[in-house]
Amino acid sequence: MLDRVERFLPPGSKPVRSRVVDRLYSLRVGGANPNRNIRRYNLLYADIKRIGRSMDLEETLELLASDMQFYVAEASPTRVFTHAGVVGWRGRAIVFPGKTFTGKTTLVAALVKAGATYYSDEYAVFDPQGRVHPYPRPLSIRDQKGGHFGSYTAEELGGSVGSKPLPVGLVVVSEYRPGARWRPRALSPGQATLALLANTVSARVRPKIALATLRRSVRRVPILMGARGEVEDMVQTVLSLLDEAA
Amino acid sequence: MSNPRNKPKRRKQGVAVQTLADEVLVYDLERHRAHCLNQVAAIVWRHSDGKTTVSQLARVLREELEVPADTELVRYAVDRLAKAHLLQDGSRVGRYSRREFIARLKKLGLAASVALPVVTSIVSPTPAHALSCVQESQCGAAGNCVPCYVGATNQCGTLRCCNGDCLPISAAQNACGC
Repeated sequence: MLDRVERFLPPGSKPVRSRVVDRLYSLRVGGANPNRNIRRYNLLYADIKRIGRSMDLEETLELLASDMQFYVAEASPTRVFTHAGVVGWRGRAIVFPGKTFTGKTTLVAALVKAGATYYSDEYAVFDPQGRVHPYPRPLSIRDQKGGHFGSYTAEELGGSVGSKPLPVGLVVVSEYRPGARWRPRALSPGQATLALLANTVSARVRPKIALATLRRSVRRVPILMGARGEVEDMVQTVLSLLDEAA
Repeated sequence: MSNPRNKPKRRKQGVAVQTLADEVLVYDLERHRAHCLNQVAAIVWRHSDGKTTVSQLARVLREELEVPADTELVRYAVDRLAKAHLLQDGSRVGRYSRREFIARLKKLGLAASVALPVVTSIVSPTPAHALSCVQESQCGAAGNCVPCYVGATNQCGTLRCCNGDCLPISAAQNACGC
């Protein structure tokens, strides 16, 4: 079972020797009981609170993964987790902050196919210097109706995963709108910091650290905002913009 | 004795401040709102110490920005700052509509982009707000949802999980996009 759980751990996880933990997860595996005509639920606990109950073990493990990612993002004392897609291009990161259903993953996948390095489709992880670290969980690509998911690694999309922290080179705040043409306007560094903060998990928990880190990350960086249409029309423009800014 | 309403005073308690080249970011720790003050608003806010009068603030603006700022411009900035709760109580010196003020700037031959005090504000997200949210979601007992996650069975019944609550679908779409 532990081997199976390992695949659901947050990116960058590693074993520690300490017996003291910040959060204790307990998983009680259910399934059919051969001696009785009953099925037991799979139960998931975070500390003493039950956070999941399902007949489907895969579903329970996905909940475990989701809760762990969320906990790490919220509790990290030094790094700031902002809901965003991130790719690397020639030593700099392109960050796409945004809420769900704004098309971040589609954009990231298209950029990876175009040769950019994959960093994340979920979180931009900023360190105190404002650099972005990789958080390369498999890309979770929705179908047209937005309901079903397929998981793809960067390699499966023909790309590669970044390993080093990168300074931010470009921030693009965009939202998919069918038929829209991407004509972005420039944001000031202050407005860009707000745009990132609006998607930051620890914004309320540690606002001073979040604000200082995000401010540092967007200093002297072009920041663009505007609705976009189909991703193919935007990919080369975004990469060229970063080349020009470098 | 001068009218204290004529001497705005910025809030110092319960705010976290970050200064950028031309702007100031202020986080309201009590209301969990973040504000970005553009250059004009930032200058007015920085010098609002409860001792400097509106006309003195106008002079500061003229010196620092080299624009023909008058007391009306300062009053408009103070109004915006007060509306964002960035001044101490009683500092509001008037109520101005943005449209009227832009028209006034045009009459003076000033570009709004240069001289208009702007305070951009956002409500700081709750941790769950900043998560990916999907149609399928996992809740414990009704009204006790954990953050939405990929692929789980929706136990909110006909409702959807959003920010830890089971909400009607239309409300969840508005609040969480799911």
